[in-house]
Amino acid sequence: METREKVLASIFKTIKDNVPDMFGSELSEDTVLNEKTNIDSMGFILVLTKLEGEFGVKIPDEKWNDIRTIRDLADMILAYMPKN
Amino acid sequence: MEIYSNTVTLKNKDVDLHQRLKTSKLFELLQEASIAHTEALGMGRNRTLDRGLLWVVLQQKVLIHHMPHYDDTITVVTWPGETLHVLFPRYYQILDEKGTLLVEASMIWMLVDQKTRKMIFPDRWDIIIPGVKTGREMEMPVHMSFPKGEETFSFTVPYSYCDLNGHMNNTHYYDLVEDHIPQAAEGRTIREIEADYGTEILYGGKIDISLKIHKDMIEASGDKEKNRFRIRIRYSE
Repeated sequence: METREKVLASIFKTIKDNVPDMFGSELSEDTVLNEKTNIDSMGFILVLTKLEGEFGVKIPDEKWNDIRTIRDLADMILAYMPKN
Repeated sequence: MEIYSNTVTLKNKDVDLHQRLKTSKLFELLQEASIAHTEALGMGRNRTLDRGLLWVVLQQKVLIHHMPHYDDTITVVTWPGETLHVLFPRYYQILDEKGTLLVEASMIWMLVDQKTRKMIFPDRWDIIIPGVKTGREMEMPVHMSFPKGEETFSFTVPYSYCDLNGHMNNTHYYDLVEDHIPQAAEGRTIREIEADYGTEILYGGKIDISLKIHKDMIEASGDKEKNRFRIRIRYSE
């Protein structure tokens, strides 16, 4: 089972590696990924799908709109992580 | 049919003034192969377009080892990667008659609702494309970011550049860019192409194009309120 710290570290790295200019240079748990539930944002989609692949997680479609910040994303990944 | 292939002989309409495959035509060949394979996999028109869904390409990465020439017979090969929830990676190779690798590429595709132009969740529409692993997959494209160039001009999407999606077809971005840089007409050899499409440009849409032209690389972007596309082309020295 991954720790919250590891998940957050992966989120930060994924954002910096893939969409470094999309969410600002200073990332924190409060960084907003998804303004006004705009799940169509390419940055949001890329980050989410890459992290799903990394952690073997599939966040249910209907939950995507609930993800607004990095904190929300970390919570969601941990909530749906396979229980080994 | 896990892997699709199609063999073509390049004709006059496919090549440029240096008798090499035009860049836009290269992407057209890859696009046509994608469509044909998707149809063969049962996820074509009757599962998408006829249900109000459109396939759109988001990112592209191409490595050109040798651009084919007029009258060359080439084989375009494509296969899908593992679906990433809403993203459909796809891989491509172009081979010559001896099986030598000429071009390799990767692209990321997505489905959008034709009316809202918003992403859809493919599971909800029973659209499933099983991924294939061949061991020949090249790395996936990544998001690009670069400063705007010094050369700028306005562009309005003409009728002839639009496809059935009602927007500028991605192949024509290459015509647009290459018509405004010296390298294409000079016959410079392309080694790598990367493209990132932010938002579609509809017929009649006006955008601001900026170009940063170096000796061995060009960076082009199109913006209007938000970024519409970024293309980077690297040339051999």
